[in-house]
Amino acid sequence: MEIYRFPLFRLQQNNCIRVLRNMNFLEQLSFSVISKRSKNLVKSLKLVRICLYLRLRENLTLAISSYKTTMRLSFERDNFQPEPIGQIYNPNCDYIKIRIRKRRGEPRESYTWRKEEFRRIRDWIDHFRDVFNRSKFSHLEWIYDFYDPHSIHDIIKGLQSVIARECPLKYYKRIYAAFKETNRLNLYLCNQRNLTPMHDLIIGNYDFFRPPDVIQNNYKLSLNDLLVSNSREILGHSPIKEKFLNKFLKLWRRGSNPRLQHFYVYLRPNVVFNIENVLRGIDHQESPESRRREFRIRQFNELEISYLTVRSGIDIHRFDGIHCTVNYIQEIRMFDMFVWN
Amino acid sequence: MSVENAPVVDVDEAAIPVEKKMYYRFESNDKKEFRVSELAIQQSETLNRLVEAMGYTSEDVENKPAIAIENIDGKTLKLVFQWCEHHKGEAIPVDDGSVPKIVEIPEFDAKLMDIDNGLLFKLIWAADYLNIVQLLNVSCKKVANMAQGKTPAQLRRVYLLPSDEEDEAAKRAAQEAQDPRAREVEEEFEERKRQGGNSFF
Repeated sequence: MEIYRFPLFRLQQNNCIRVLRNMNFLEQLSFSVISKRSKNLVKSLKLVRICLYLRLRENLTLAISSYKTTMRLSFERDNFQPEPIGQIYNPNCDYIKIRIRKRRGEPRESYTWRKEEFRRIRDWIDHFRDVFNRSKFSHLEWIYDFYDPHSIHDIIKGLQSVIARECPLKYYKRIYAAFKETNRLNLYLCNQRNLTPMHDLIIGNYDFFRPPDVIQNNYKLSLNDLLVSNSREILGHSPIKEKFLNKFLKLWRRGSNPRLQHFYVYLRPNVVFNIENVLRGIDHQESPESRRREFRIRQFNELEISYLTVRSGIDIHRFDGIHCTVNYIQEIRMFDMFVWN
Repeated sequence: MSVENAPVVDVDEAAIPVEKKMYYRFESNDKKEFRVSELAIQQSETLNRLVEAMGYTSEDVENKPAIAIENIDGKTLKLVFQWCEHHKGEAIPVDDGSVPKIVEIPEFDAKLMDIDNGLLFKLIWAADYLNIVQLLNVSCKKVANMAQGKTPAQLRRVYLLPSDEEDEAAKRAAQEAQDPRAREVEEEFEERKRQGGNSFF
């Protein structure tokens, strides 16, 4: 194999950056690991549209997505033992395994990176957070219940949201106890039968709340679930009926869910739905077809706030003068409610 | 009269009034001279401005001394002008530095840059000095391609990158070289501190 030698840092700074811009994502990240100076150069590229999230299965994986490329950095241990449940997650890791698929359909390529100064997972994670000027991850996807959540919390800080699934219900409580500062809750309670203690989890001023749904979890969302959640954004998938929504809107008008900004629910295809029944007994005004209004939305796994333009709709006002606009979109069978800022 | 029967006349091409192309003369720092077309020069923002400012006529180009390019040697300048002649008349890309560009290296450029890394390094410096944006793009792409599939440790060797300690040492050495008096003052201050003095002055 030909060994190249090129004195890169003897080039002018703008040409060093030009060389870096011509590298692919993986090479740029590899370059950032070499030294402080190389890291600062990659930082100066101001790589945009980067999503950082973590996934915990047998090992912790940091996924870095940019445009169409997702790179997975696994902090692997050779002696992984899934038993006993609740074991302390070892924070030390002096190498990472990179897995990247450059093009769709191509097999994944694997690399192992080491850096003498990086002895802990935290060192690697902090490095990439710094490179991308990110103080927070978008989310942690938590699968299985092998590890003690507090030991994971020690490794990861600045986590914005948690997706947890396939864990026993008791374990969720430990996750949320450990990640109290996390303001986004997303529950995928697969194959759970006994969900009665769920209220403990739902109570909280979360930014985003996605209750379990009936299809995956055989869980019927109750009005009480919605009222106690006090989240900014709620997405429901349960077979919600007109009467349910009617009650919810009436309670909202009287002051329930004061932090709510966006509530949307997908209705099941075989359920007959009439918006008139939802609005029965509620003062409302149909806005003209030509009206366009922008609302702030934040998708669950994205850090950036985006804006959605809502056409027309039905306006309802709360006792304190706050308005909301509700809509029913027949094509996707979605009931949508935006509260005006 | 048929074409076959027409008298054969030797035509003096020089006598035909055609628009004459102007070729400028440049000289490298090792006294090698190059003749470069006006159109090719347009690829270099620096040279283009220079010849515009000089306002040379065809006679001036022949009679006056070649324009000296002090910073570039003949070997490098030959590559630069070969590149400019091949790409003359092509649009010059705008470089706003904001988005990652996909740069393809054309076959001609790949052959031209089939050179050792020392010369490639000089070529990038020359392209930067003469402000030839597309030559910079392709030459930097060639350097970027050296990183393909490399781990951080391999990249360090490929690009001869210093470690953090080496960077620190170089920074200190540069500071000292820049202002030896400042270093002396600092040492004196340290010495007085060791002796228990409260004030330097």
